[in-house]
Amino acid sequence: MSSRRYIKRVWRVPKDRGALDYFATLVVKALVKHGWPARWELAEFTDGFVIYEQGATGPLPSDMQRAAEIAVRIVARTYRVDVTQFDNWVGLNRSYTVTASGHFKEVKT
Amino acid sequence: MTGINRKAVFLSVDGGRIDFVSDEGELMASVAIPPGRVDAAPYLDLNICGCTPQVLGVAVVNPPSAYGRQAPYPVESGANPDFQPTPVSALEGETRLMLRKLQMQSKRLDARMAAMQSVEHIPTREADPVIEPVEAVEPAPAPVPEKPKAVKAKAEAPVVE
Repeated sequence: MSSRRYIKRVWRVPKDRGALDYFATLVVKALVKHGWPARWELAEFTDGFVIYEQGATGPLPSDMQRAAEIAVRIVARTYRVDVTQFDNWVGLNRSYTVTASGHFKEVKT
Repeated sequence: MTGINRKAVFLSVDGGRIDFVSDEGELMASVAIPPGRVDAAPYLDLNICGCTPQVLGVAVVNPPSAYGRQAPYPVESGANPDFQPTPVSALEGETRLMLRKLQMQSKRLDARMAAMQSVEHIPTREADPVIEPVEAVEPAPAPVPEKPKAVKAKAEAPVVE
């Protein structure tokens, strides 16, 4: 019997660790709330992160990949974030800061 | 004359009388009407109980509103005058009302469901398949050694004979 304790975890979404962490946690939280054993890892040298299955690396199973794509799309639309996703890699197209109220704010340069 | 409208007017040159006749035909009262134009209402208000007013010597001019009005049951119809709606029909009405309410609710629900369907949502993962414990298979080869013995016994029998 596999453990599904990760579903019942209390999720605290960090607002002080930057926009990428915040976005990744939101996506993974949405996935986990729907029963997908997801975790995320920072993708080095790219402004993005990779979604993996719990205790596994590599490409996601097809159904979980579909769920992950939908989750990313929903979170991006909800928070009006410009993202790119390629398989299980997700990246932010622009630089954002996270406000105290939990919104993404684009950094104008 | 029966059926005098309350707004009717008595018209006469010499005056007349209004008689109040009971159902048995007895004259209970006879009241004089002065000449000229007299309103009928105060005479009808005398209202000697159970009597029918009958007018003599005066013309009764009914108001325009009195004409063109249907008397009760002018037509001999085949309808049952003793008809009373049965409780079944009341129940039927209630049932129809409830059905209509339910239909409205289901319509609302359908609209909400359609709206929900149009929104993209994350598919829920199916629960992990429950692995049922495999039942221990009874040792099938146990009876196998018995059979050859019987066969052997049968085979041996003719040899003995």
